[in-house]
Amino acid sequence: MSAEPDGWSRAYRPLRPRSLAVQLVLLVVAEIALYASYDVHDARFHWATHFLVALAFASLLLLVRLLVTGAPGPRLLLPAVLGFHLFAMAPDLIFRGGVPHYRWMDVFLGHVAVHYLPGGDGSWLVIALTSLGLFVGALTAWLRARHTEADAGLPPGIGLTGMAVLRPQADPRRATLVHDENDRAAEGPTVVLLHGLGSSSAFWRPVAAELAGKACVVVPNLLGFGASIRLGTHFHLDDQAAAVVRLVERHGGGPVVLAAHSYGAVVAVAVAIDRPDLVRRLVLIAPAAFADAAQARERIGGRSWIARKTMSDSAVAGVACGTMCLLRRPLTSLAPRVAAQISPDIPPDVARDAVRYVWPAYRDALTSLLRDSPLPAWFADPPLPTTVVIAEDDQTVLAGDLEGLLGTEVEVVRVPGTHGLPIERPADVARAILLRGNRRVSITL
Amino acid sequence: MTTAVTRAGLASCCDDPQDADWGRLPGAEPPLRWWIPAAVTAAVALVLVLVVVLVVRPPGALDDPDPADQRDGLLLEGPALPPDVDGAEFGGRTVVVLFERDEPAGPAFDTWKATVSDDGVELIVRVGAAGEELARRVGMPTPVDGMSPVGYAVVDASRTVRYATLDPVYEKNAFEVDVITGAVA
Repeated sequence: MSAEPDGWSRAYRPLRPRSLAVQLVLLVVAEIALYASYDVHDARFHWATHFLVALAFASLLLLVRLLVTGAPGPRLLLPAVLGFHLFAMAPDLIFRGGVPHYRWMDVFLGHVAVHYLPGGDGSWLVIALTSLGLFVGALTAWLRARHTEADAGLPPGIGLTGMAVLRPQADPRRATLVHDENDRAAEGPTVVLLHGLGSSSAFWRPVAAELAGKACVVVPNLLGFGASIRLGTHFHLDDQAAAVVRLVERHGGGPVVLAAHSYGAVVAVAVAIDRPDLVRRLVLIAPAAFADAAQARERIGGRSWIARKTMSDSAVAGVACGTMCLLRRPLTSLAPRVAAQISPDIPPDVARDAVRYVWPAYRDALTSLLRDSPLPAWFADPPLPTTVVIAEDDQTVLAGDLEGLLGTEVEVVRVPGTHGLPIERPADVARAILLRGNRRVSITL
Repeated sequence: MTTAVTRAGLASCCDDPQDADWGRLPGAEPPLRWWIPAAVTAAVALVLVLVVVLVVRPPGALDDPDPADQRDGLLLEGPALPPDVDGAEFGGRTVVVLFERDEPAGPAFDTWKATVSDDGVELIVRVGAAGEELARRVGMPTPVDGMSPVGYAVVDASRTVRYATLDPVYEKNAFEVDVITGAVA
């Protein structure tokens, strides 16, 4: 779901009052007709049972859709109830065509079995009203949250899942990025560490520990990621850069050493372009720099199914990501155990935060990589001292690809390791961050 | 210091995000006030409760105590009857046994009988206590009032009971009997 005005319009379409009123009238008329068709055969309670089952099922489905996609749908909400009712009563229509009931007809929303629920239609009434109440409660909270955001001057958080379905996002212009910070009084530069895609400040903790006592370290969670998950409704590159600028300004205004990993490098360079006065030096570790969008698709898509689907604008990616958000709590418990099986080097908090982000932030970050990346132009002729740390065994950003983009003014540090260099080789990365700018040299740590 | 590097496409949404006032752009507000869905749903739920309470009457004296078992449309597989039960002969053709408390008569019954007994289906009528033994053998349910049943059973050509239900308004539902007899023929 786009966070642009046309995206808002699409998301709000199912809620247009006139359309809903027409749908409600049509639903009532259709249900009266269906009721009459049962009444002729003195089978009114069958109408009630199947209608209530359909109402319960439709409500739960609409609720799941709202929670997974972060927007109400489908476009015609109320006919969904009629559609499910017709589906649930299909065996009765078939019966009228001369076919008796069979047990397998329970595939039609339990057509046979639903009649055996203790309490009969009274129980189904309670179930249907409870399901409807859950959906309408969630929709009410969603509407209220979007109104609150709009009143605050924020773009509406359409497409945001997780708690953002129920509560408004915080305004990043009034709240700073949630960040870790250590050693404000330390000698040395202020170093701001920006994480990459699907990551958080936890990713930098090993490096921050190495920098302790040598620098004042600030490690933010970018908008929509990690602890900043409830911050912001719009996650384009300029939003991320503006949030980092505000953070730096609130930490004395710099200039700071801006160190960034992977996608974070794109944000870091955006900050340096917008506010060069805030940046002393850039240190970019395994920066997500690609010659063109095709190469970006190949490299990133080759490493991640969900990234591949996202970059091909597949709706599957949004559904998968929304489902992850819905299951975030169990997934955050499960992630460290799974990560430990795959790679014992991954710290538990890094694994936990790998599923702690909102879908639009992930999607917009990938979009930035494909369409808005300032990295190739920056690397060709960097206006500020820039160090690039190349992970020699990186399979996402290949050393050869990256070297081809670097101009002579870029200081290059080569370190053995993969794309996760800051957690694999924190001491080497910390040394690279503290290196004094010495252009036109290539160092191997 | 050169300023040649710019961020292509970054200004797609707003020139200065810090001063952006996106939320006040037309279309940012949802088209519904937040309380409207809840209010409309509450009203609709109230109507629905009334409708269900009025529509779903409790079983009457002649009905099955469990509405789910009345006219469920599901074919049975048994029991198998002997060739002669209390004077009624089974086997070789489909038989519909109608149980009534009073001798059925009138145009509605005639129409029902004509519909049910076409296609070579034989109709046997048992009234009141005269049908007790047969009702027991075909497994007719006992109605709420505990008296003799009003309804019908369908026995196929191999003397297997395929359907047995109470139906106090059976005259309205000849097509249901037709569907069952058609399926077991």
